[in-house]
Amino acid sequence: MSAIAPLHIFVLWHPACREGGAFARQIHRWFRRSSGVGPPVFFRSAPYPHGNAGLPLPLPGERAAGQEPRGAIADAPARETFVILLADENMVSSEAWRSWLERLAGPARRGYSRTVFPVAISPTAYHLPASLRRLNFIRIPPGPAELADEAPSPATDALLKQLTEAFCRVFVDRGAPGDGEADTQEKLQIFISHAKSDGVTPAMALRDAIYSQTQVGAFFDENDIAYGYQFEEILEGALTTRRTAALLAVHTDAYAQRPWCRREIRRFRSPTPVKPPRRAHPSFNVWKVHPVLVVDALEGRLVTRAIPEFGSSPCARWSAGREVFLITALLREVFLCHYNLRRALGVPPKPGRVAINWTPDPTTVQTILGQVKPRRAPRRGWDLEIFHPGHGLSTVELTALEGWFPRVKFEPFPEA
Amino acid sequence: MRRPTIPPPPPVVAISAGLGEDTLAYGFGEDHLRELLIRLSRPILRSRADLAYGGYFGKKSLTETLLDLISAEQREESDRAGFGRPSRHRTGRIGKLFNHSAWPYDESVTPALRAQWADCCQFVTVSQTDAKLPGAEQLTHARLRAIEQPSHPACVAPEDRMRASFNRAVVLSRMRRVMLEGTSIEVPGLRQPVPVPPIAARVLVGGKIQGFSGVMPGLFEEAWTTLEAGVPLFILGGFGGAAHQLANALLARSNRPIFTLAKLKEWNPHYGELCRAFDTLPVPEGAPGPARAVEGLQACLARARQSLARLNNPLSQEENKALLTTRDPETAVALVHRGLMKIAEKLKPNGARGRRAPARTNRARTPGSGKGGA
Repeated sequence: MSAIAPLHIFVLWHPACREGGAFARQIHRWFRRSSGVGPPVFFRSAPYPHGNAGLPLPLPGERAAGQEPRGAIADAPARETFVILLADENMVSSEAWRSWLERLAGPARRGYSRTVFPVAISPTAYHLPASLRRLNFIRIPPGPAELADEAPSPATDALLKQLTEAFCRVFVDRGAPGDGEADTQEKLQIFISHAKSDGVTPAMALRDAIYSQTQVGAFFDENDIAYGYQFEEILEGALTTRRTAALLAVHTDAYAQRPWCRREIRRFRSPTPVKPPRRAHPSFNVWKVHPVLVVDALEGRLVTRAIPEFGSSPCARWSAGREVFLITALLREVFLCHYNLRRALGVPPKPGRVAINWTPDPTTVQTILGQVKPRRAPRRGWDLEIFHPGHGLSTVELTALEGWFPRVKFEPFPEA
Repeated sequence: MRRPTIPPPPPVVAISAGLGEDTLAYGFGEDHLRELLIRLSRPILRSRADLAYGGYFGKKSLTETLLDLISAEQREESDRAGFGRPSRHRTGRIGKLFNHSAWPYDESVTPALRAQWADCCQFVTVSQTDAKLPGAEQLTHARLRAIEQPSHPACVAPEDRMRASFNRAVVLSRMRRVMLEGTSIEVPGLRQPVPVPPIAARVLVGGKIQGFSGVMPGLFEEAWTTLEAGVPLFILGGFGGAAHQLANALLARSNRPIFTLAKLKEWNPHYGELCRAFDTLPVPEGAPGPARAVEGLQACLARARQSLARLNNPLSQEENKALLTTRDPETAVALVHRGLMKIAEKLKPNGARGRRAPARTNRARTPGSGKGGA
């Protein structure tokens, strides 16, 4: 089974750029993830040995200046390509690179799109060709890309934060089939779900960080529901609007007991079927879930309960000062959700097959089974096949899911 | 009384991988290679096969990556078995790693390392004795260090340098043979030696071509010996390094030799000295010299160029071409697994009885096998 890949990311840096390799490595680790749930990230730096006038290997869909080796299969371009330019003085001063970057900034082939994200590694970056100068550069503080133990440095944290926001914005703005019309005028919005009795402090700190340090908005019921307005109606609207990209669940001691909080998370995290595109195969069956990040702010003053609605949502510990990291992690989930929705749409439809854009967990799989009602196929050993992101679940997860759903087969997405 | 039947040992798949000098030029870094290695290895381990890998052992090395993977898989399997839950994804055994290392790299295989990875790995060390170098011609580790990292380089005699590079090359070649043909490890107290089976297939990706220590770059020698033995070979040519050079040679239209002694001298400035060593010093039986190795590789490549079926793997001509050229890791992994699954089908016992256990006798220790063991 093969389809056109929805996205490839390329990181370009001049071979003489001292920090380029380290930045590239961190970008690869952040977006690709070790489980392979993220898009492929490729590097372009060292000169291509078989030609191209001393420049790196061309991007898929580009023509090389030199000769490709005989018999080589040209890489198929992805539907979308994100090109990250780590622009330093070496890149800016090289005529060959300038000429290449000008071509990259031009339009891609029909039916494909390419977006360039220039990063100012040095102040001279703004002297790139005019077609690139027009773009909004990502600015990072000076400093090394990595700490001694290869952990990301403050410069890399700033880079990853801005790239994540930018990728999110492009993907959500473009939308996916079945998503409805894109409205690019409004900011993306994060819904902050919290218990009033003990969750206000972390929730407000997160809200303040969202407004002061990101380009996204926040829905925080105390500020965003005008006095006298219908609480439930506004909340439902905020949860279901297309601009609400994600939900931050501030999990405090009192959270599990709050019906509104449980409702918010249940509503937001309920799988919904994607509307089939025009002329879709009759067996088209794709489901999506919106991204959630659980912020663990438990203090242990009460004995509380686990919340099954959280499912396989990622979870990170709260502490003051970590707000930007938490928001960036959530925005990465937004990006990955949209990316994996596109991958799910590329899974060839077949009877008894479902594609989803999240890592399956018992709660969400049960919801799907309640609505899909697979036909029994005793000879086959399973009645329903669910394709999901990543290279594959761990044995522990697979065995647990098989125990819950013995007639369901879980498979990672086939290669694109 | 009927003697118990010993089941055949699980198949062993060898992976030869390393960062090539030009891997970055093809768009990949170390993390890509690590991910590729994990994606190739995990299904092999879960299908009960073992892995063989001849890399050095160090922090963040690819060997460590493989051992971490095996250790994690074993832990998961043990957790699953503890719940008594069957799974269509499990057959109850996770493969292990045979890590081959040749002198002088065997110095890094310490008792602490063996103990740490005792559940995941069988270390197979190949010494100068195993390579049939007479005692008088062997070098101690200290002597080797004095020759190769001297405080006063001018004091090192040319014949000492020659001896050091000769011994390295001979032992490396022997290690590759041991990996290909299998061996057994005598363990005091055990009636039977521990078998190290021959490999059932080999996968090549990346690999250095400069500064090599053997009679040719390691992946070249492994390709040559694998092809000569008729063992299935999978070459991932899209990720640079020695594997890419081999792929280019297989896809070339002309039959002009690509890998000549002159070419290897370009890649390794000390290669001339090694060639002279093989002309001057007594060569142990079975040790290939540079000229023979290069000729052997050229001959194997020339035959495989006529038809990629000579790679002996079950992939079609088109699939092999795709594997030689694709730069898409997903496609490469899928093709290798397709080929390995077909090989596994052929190797299934199909009801044939396994080898019978030998009658109880006092067996003498067999000399000349690879040393190692717990």
